[in-house]
Amino acid sequence: MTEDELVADFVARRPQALEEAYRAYAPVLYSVARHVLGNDADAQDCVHDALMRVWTRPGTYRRERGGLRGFLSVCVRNEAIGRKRDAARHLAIERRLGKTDPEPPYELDVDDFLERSRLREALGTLPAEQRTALELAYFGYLSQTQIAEKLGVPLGTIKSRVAMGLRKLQAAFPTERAGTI
Amino acid sequence: MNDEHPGEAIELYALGALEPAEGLAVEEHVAACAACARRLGEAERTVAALDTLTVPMFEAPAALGERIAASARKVVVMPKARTVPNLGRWGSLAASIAVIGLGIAGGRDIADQRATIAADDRAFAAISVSHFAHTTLTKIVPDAPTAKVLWGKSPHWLYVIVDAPACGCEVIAQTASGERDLGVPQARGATATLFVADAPDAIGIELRAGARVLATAKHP
Repeated sequence: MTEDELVADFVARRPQALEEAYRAYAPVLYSVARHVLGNDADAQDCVHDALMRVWTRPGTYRRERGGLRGFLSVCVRNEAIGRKRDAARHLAIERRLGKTDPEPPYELDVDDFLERSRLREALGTLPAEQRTALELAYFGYLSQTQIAEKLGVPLGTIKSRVAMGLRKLQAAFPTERAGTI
Repeated sequence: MNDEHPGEAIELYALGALEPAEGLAVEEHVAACAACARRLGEAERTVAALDTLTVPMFEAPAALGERIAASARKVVVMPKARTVPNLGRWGSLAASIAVIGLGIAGGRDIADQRATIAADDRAFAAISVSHFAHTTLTKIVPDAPTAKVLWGKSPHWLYVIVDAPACGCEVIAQTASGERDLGVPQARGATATLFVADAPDAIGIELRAGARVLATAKHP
């Protein structure tokens, strides 16, 4: 089956389309969730719930968005990040109530992720303030509000820096092409 | 649809840098806007490319595929939102809520239903796809209406169902730092309901009429 055929089935909401889409991208989707959440059980729940949310909300995906891989991957990633933030908020409440140890200072260890020269080069082309904001969003899983608070910069400025940084990176990566899955 | 284009929020959505309510607003707009869908698609491809370079690959467990297939087979695929009579959606929503024993009666004017369909969609989607617990509110006063609350586990949504269409009450969240007004349940046939998409800090809720506490429930 080609990507175009899979997209057509998905848009038409044919009964087997979700399973086929999952089979096509299972390693990517599971790996993204596992990477963000850090364990197998949470990752499985995350992928399952994210896909079912997509499938029960018609109109979420439309052809103009391009291939399914990026769409589904971002859906799973957002679900995972939401869960991670929820867990952090509950931990923060417990800390305020004195039930757990104080939160360790937040440190972003980007170096672990910068093994690939192409990514390093691409990020290196960005102005420092855009790169920092983008890294805090992508690697640190912080929301725009958290980034603004962390950097002491207005929210609108952070929004512009992150968006501009990501749009510049688009030129550095090849566009996803349709083909046989 | 929210007619205002989300602009830069699209890239933040693709990166997961929006809060749930902000993300839902982007999703709703993109579902009806081809230009923003294209822009989001480009951002998604870039994030997917970043993932390719930074995310270690794991083999997906076979059990996950079987679980997804089983769940997908149970889903009655809903037609697209803008082309379908709303009563069908009410039927689906009622089927979901019936699990806790509080039925939703019909009879409301269709125009009124259209005005509330976005909130109903969110509630239906949340109830359909995520894990939740439910609690019956403890009545503090004898004349308090029967009410239940569903506690979404992830994301932490709340769905309050009051067994009275016009309870004249509001829902207050109790948090570690104080109280937060979540809103007023809206009439739905024989009941009134309130869906809160993001309430991660709620450790309990109260149903109040003015300063009078009618009923309360703690997070299970």
